[in-house]
Amino acid sequence: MSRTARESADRARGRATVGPERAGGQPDGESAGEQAVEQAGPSTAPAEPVDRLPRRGLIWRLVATAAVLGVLATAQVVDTDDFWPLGSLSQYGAPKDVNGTIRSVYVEALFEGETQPRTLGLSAGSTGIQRGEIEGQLGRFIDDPSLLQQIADSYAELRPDRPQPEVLYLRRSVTQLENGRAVGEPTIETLAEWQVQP
Amino acid sequence: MTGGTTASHQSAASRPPAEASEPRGRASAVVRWFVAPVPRARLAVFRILLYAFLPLEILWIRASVVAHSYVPELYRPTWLARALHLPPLTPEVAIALRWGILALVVLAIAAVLAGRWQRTTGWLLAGAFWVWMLNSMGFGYVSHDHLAIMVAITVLPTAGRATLGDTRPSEAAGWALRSVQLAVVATYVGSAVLKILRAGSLWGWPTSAVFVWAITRRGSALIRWTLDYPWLLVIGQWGLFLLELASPVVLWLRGRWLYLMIGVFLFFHLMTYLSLGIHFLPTVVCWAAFLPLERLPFVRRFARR
Repeated sequence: MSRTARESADRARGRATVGPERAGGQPDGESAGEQAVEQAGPSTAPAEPVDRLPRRGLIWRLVATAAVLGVLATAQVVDTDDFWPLGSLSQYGAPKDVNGTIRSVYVEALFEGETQPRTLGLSAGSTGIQRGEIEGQLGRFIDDPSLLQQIADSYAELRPDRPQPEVLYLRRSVTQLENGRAVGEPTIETLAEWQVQP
Repeated sequence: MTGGTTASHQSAASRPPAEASEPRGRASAVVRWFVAPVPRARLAVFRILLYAFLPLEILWIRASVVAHSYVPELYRPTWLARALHLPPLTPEVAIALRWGILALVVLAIAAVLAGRWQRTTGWLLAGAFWVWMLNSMGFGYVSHDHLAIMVAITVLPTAGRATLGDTRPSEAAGWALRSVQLAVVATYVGSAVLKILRAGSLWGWPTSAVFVWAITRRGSALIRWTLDYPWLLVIGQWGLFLLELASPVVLWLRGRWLYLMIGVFLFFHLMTYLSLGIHFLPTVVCWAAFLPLERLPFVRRFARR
């Protein structure tokens, strides 16, 4: 169906339907000249003149577009998160060996008056920092377990009414895969341990 | 540079259309694609939509900024935050920033409705939101679903005044929305490229155990059964990978094919939300930059008033 025919059909139905030509929101790229004037306006109004960009406005926009795309492309090659939001788009991006391991970090706490450590839920609301964030700087915690004191401190401030931890354990469970299936029970590694300072 | 027009453009709207003639040529067509005009009303609706989404960001999705103020020693700022010397925030400053953003959201939406102060409120809100997000991303984890929304918040003020009833096509508005579209597409195609680079081959990622890994770590009850069928997950990985690689076609699709593709992507996000709790809402909201928003019935009603 031609553009005009579809538009009159739309009008005849009395609805604000959208012709497929319009849906992209852009006039055809190859002919974004005067044609745009006719296409971009609403079907009921006469064609309106286009507000064009002055040359300077056009140039800085094109330069900015190229620069942002360039940084983003570089970040994929260098594979860095440091340029966020133009960093590497690496969420779930690393291929995982079907015969490898799945590792997951968590924190356990020995609470006052208890004999067995149990999991301390890591959330912004209770510890100020989340699992993914601890995993993102895991090396720091392993090198300097005293950083776990920050988690105890934030827990004391954010959850003052709960029992407080006396010892914190940074642990990792490791699940072995065989052909993409988990086999056996996960093994547990303790990466860091910290006696909480009151 | 080929596409420049030489006359003064401040009064473009008042000149007869014949004067807006363009140099012809392929390079010019490419340049014009980046600034293809859209009605200002479309930009106005997108502004309202995006600004109205920000409270969700600071109160739920990336609410952690206030919590971060309790763990200042764990601050690991990314490059831009270091370049700007942004310090970790104290609880008082973080809470003040939260209220400031909420107030600016109200002002920025009011500015769109009133047709005044849009640039000022837009830039202030963009600045405050950048500070918030750079802190949110400064503790060892960055979220990859924020590329498009950060581009959007930054480019929106550049388009100047735009009201819901203003149907004049504008290149400035066109570039702002095109930039958001490009950022949305880059989110997907960039991640496909990274998968190829990391695996060193086209098939390395889709044939690996990524879904098993993800579902083992954080899969919901709805999805854990698939762990018994690794081949099914490999098919899923191929599907996702090919979809991401093909994402740039949405820049040229029209009508029902465009809607179909958008639907496929939104369905994918719904599925990952139900199975892994990952919603990608900041990217989802930016998909609206592909839609003729000025045709929404309530916008038309508002515009007529």
